[in-house]
Amino acid sequence: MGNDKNTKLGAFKDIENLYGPPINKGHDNLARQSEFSLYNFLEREESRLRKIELFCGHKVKTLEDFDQTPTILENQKRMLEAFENSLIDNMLNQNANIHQHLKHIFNKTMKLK
Amino acid sequence: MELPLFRHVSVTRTNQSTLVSLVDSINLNSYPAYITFDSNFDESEIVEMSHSIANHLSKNGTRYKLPFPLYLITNLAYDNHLLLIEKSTSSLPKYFKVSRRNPNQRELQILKRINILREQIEAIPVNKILEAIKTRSKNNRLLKEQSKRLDFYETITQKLGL
Repeated sequence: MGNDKNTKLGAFKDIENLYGPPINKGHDNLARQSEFSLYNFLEREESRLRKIELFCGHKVKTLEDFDQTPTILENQKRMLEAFENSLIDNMLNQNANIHQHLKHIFNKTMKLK
Repeated sequence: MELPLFRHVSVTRTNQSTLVSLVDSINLNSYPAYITFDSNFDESEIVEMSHSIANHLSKNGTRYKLPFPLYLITNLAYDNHLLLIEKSTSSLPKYFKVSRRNPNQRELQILKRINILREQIEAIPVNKILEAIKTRSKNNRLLKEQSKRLDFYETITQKLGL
């Protein structure tokens, strides 16, 4: 089978000779990669340092100068207190919905009419 | 001009006594570095030295995370939440592992720009900023918890028809 294939492909050998030996591109690519690895690294490093400078030098400073978190926290604390107070007031009321629901549940489970 | 690639600092029996000056000799504003310990050191000695390095860095306010990191290479499970510790040099970030060679003209131009950025970052109190970020993250976590509680109360009041 192998010999048959060789004889069949024999006709293409002349065409193959026209193009010459295959070029080894792998070696060139490796050399190029190592040549540009430092350049690429330096470019990435520059952009990394620029980002650090922008973040630490400008963004964090602005956030520190105009920090809204303590005010928001204070507001939320006040709202939470108001909600809790209103909930407790409503729960303590005898006619509250929760009492009706609890009454219904107890009556159902204890089978009282 | 210094290339911002990993520098190796080795601690041996001969330079053990000058450990502090050895750490000071590392310019962490210019390049990342890693410290390795000689194999003939005991575990307790390595822990002690790591501790003294961490103390020295925190006392001097040396920036050892930003812009360039300083790693300790040790197999020990030593962790004081201050230093960056790796088990071997192979686990160090590959980003800074580039083959060293003399930079050409184009690379020198980028290096110049990098140097300017280094100087700008040097003027920023990075450690203070890292602390500020930590406190801010704590506040944000608190804010998240409170918002969750507020949301819960709002749904309860809506469902109860209050």
